[in-house]
Amino acid sequence: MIDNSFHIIQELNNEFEKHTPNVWPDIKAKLARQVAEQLLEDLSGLPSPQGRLFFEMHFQKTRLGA
Amino acid sequence: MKDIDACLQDIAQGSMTALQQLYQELHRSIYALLLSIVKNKSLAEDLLQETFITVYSKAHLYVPRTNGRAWVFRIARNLAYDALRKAKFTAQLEMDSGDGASLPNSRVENLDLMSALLELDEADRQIVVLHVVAGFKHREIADFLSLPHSTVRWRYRRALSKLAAILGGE
Repeated sequence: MIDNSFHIIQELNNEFEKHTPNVWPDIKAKLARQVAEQLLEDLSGLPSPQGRLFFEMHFQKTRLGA
Repeated sequence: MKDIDACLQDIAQGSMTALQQLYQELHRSIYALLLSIVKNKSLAEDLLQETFITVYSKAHLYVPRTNGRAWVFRIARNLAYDALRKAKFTAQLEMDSGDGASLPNSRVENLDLMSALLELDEADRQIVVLHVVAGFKHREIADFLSLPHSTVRWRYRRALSKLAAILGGE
């Protein structure tokens, strides 16, 4: 039987040490999904006229035309 | 391990490594605080995840050198109270004695001490957990819970006596 403060403190720490679940893998997975969703959102829509694809298309056209 | 302030600053820059370090340092005491508020293991586990996800998304709002540990604990505490408000969990759990996830039913797993902890009133539970498991000083707890320092001290002593009495069957 636990009969003094010191043992209560010690036992309480032991209990939480033993019984705290490890949720790190779930946190990592959720954050990875959030980041991926954000990236997809950033990439959705029409390419910007200032983007690299347009620059390269224009570069190819002017080079071939030259 | 880096100090909590340094971790929060790295997390604000998107560092998952720093978030993992912070998790390693604080997850046990955050879980203890969450459990002391919501009194339900599976909800505390969900809120533990949510706490660190919120820390990751809000780390840029943390003002350096303003007690990073208390800032993280405040996020956890706010999430716990939000969850209780939304689900009206307190009343439901009192009535729902058949819920296998709630701590009182875990007596069979030899968790008498944690069950005894849950018999304390809410502020006393938080004071005990914040001091014993999270390592907060009484003065920090007083700030955190907006209570006078002397009140925190005597409530802590009273709570330990109550725990001893519950466990001793007095």
